[in-house]
Amino acid sequence: MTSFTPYTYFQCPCTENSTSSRTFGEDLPSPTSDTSEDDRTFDPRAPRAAYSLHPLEHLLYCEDCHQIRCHRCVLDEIVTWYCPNCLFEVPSSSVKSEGNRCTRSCFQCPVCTASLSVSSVALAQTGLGADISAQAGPYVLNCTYCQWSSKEIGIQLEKPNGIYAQLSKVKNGGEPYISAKDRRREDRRDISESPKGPGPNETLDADSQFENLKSFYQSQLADSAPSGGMGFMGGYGYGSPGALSRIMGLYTGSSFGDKKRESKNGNMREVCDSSEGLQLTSTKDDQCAITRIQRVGWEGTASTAQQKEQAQSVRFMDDLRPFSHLLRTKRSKRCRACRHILSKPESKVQNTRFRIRLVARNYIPAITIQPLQQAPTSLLTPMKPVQFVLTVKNPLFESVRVNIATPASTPGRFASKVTVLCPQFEIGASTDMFDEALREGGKEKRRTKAEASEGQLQAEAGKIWERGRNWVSVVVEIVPASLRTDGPEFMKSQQIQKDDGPLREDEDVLEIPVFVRVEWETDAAHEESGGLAAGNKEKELKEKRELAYWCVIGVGRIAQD
Amino acid sequence: MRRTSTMPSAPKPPTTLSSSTVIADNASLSGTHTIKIGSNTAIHPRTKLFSGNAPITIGNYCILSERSITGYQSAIPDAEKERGGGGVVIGNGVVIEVGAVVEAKEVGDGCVIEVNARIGKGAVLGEHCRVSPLCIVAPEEVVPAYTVIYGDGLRRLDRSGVKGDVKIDMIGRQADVLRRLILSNPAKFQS
Amino acid sequence: MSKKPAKGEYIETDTGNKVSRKCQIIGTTNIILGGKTVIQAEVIIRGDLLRSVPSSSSSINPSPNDKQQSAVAVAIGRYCFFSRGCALRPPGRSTKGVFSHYPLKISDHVFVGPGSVIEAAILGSHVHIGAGVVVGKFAIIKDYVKVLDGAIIPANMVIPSFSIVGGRPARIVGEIAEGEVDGFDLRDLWRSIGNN
Repeated sequence: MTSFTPYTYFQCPCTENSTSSRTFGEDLPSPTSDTSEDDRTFDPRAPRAAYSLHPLEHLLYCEDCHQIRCHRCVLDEIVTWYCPNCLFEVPSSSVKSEGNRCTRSCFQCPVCTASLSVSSVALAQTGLGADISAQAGPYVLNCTYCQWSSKEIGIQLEKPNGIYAQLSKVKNGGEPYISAKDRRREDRRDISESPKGPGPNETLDADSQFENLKSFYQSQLADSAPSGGMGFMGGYGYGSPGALSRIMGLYTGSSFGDKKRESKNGNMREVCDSSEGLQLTSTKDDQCAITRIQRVGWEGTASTAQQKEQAQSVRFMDDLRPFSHLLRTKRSKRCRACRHILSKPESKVQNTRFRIRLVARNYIPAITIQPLQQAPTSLLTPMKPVQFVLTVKNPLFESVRVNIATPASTPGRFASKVTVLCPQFEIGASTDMFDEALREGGKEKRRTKAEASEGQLQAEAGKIWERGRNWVSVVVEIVPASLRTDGPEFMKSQQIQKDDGPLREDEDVLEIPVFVRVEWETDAAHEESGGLAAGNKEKELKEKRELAYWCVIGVGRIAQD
Repeated sequence: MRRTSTMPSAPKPPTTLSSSTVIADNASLSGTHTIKIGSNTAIHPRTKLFSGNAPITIGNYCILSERSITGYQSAIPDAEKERGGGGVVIGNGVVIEVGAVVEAKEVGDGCVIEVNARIGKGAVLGEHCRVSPLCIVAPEEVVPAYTVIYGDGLRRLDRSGVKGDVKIDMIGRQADVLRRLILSNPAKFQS
Repeated sequence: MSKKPAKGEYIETDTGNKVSRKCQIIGTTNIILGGKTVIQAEVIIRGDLLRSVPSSSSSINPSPNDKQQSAVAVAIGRYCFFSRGCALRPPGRSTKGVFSHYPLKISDHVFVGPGSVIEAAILGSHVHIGAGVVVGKFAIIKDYVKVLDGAIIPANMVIPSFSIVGGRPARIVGEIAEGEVDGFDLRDLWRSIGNN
């Protein structure tokens, strides 16, 4: 609670909500109180605000829209799928066919989620780094963190590679795994000898049950797809002949589809035996589980976190199975408004470069805040004015004019008073990296007002506090509000009169909404000046740019008195 | 590093070292009670053994890593002394990793105490226990054999069947390698 | 460098390394520093834990003196920062019954927080490791990874680029955003460290 790092969050314009949101316990806003768009202050405590505020590093910038873009207003496109453990690229076709997990040898521990390593049974776990050398088999999967071993579920492997394929053929305990399809094939062979086929109440494992259910309902959907708009739902309907006939119906007149619909109506039915995926539960299963719990005890039951990672519902430690790593992606990002690419990584897994990377911190000034004098405590004393230094750093190659505006008092129940002593200033251009490299080592010259008088720091209204090559800092004076809700009636603010409940979570954090407007002149965009002939004029053509946005500065916590 | 030898200013504790003990020149053995170290045990540089409050006995084929601290850090109550408290007793084939603090009464054979783990004063670890990094065993706690302590204090029993002799053999080989790498100076600590 | 060397906390080398006088480096001849690296007080670097099996040849004669050219236990790139009390240790394991340590390779712009213990095989470039972290033996951390304070990275774990990892055992809890990439640069941090 005591440590607090000041922060600055920027509002992405994509969530600009025209309807003012309500805080807890507030009355419905009267229609007359809604002031015009420009006068409205951004309230960082509004429930919606949490979704629109981002640290500068998380924001992108669209050069075509000249606007900030957050993860909610960009489109993600997957460039590459890869396994985070073996870093192998997985083609998107096999992602579709084999699922979004690594199908090589990358498995996670079912007990603690750490990666499993393969070791030979002969020299299993030493605690000194597992042995992954090629030793004579059989092999087991070992967790280097919690020491779980596939021996505990009775699984040993013949080869140290291709674990996924090997594991899918073996059940816990070491028995070979036969899918229902294979079994039926075998049974069919048996039928010729004995009349005993698979009964309608055959017990299925989860995978084959899912297979059966899927194929059954797919065929059902295909048959009855045109019955109403539902046929197009879920993607299944698209490829079905039913959907096709419906489309045909659209063009050829309704009679074609209608006839079909009438004939097919009432054909939809539910599963009725195990070949269609029906599994009957019986009280016997529950009884089994209860006796097993009594036998293995607390130790032998899996935790909810462990159960959640399993593909099938599992209750006991003995039933846990190692699970393979989920694939990860590299994604490029597009602006939702203009569809231009904002970020595009190199497609190779191991390459960390970006082909395109339009990040907001290269376009909009960074804002940081720090106390002017080191306070003895990290908490802010109520009703005692404190001064903070607000530093604005310009990333652009042009000098910019900055306007900073804050409401005189912060929104919310406890209104602190805020005064920016110098709300308007100009910041020099950011020069390129070479200049920065040249002055490496040498201290940057600061033109500071504070240097002369060490002890007595005086911030003057309308004057810049400090200035660097591409940054300016100004002083902000803050009078933190008192967090008291009691006291005489005339002392209370309107909001507290309405709501004098106890202090809510993080209500003691002093957050200042700041409206920043940046103006600069830049060479006119190239596409606007057509042809080579315009080259000369281009230099004189200066375009005025403007960017304005809200940000929220977290200053500190106010002490409770 | 040009530095004069960091001999402890405190009196040298009485020691019983095996001829095959590997003990780094700048390990620190201090205290007043006996420190007994078994054969083929390797002690890394900057390992601390402190016998100021109770004696320390370390078995064969152990590895004690840098910055680990072994020995009671505070005085033991008289009642414990009367019961014949033997101080810290570490079994065979025990690995104590970097920065671990071991104040256990007894550490069973084949235990692994990982990086920055803490074994509280007077605790007893059974055979082949494994204390994961940053895990804590409370003082006076008795941990059954084959327990794995991991995560945020979670426990489980390792049922995979540890082969103790193989494990100790491996640690022996590691000690052999360390004998060539660590500047060993048992004579310095011999009393 | 202009000052009397006995005064400041750091020894500054010609290649710009700033090494605290209070650090505990063992086996200096087996450690490579790429330059402009800061090593703070009480940092332990175990350069003495050399590889004892020859890397690719089949001769099983593990004596370190016939392999002079490969006598590197810890290789560190440029602009790395090792905070107070961290430990760098080449990992060791038994292969075919023979125990050996293997070199610990650290690329450029790697920050290691105070009190962390590193026994990784490879730390990529632009890696930020928080305080009190344990990086297990033979872990591989790729470029642009942030390890949160107090995380335990199990042995042999591979962490892909642009990951944020944390917890015990560590798992991937987030992704590094495009804009955070520049924040991994440690040049300014190196500049800020000095004897004055």
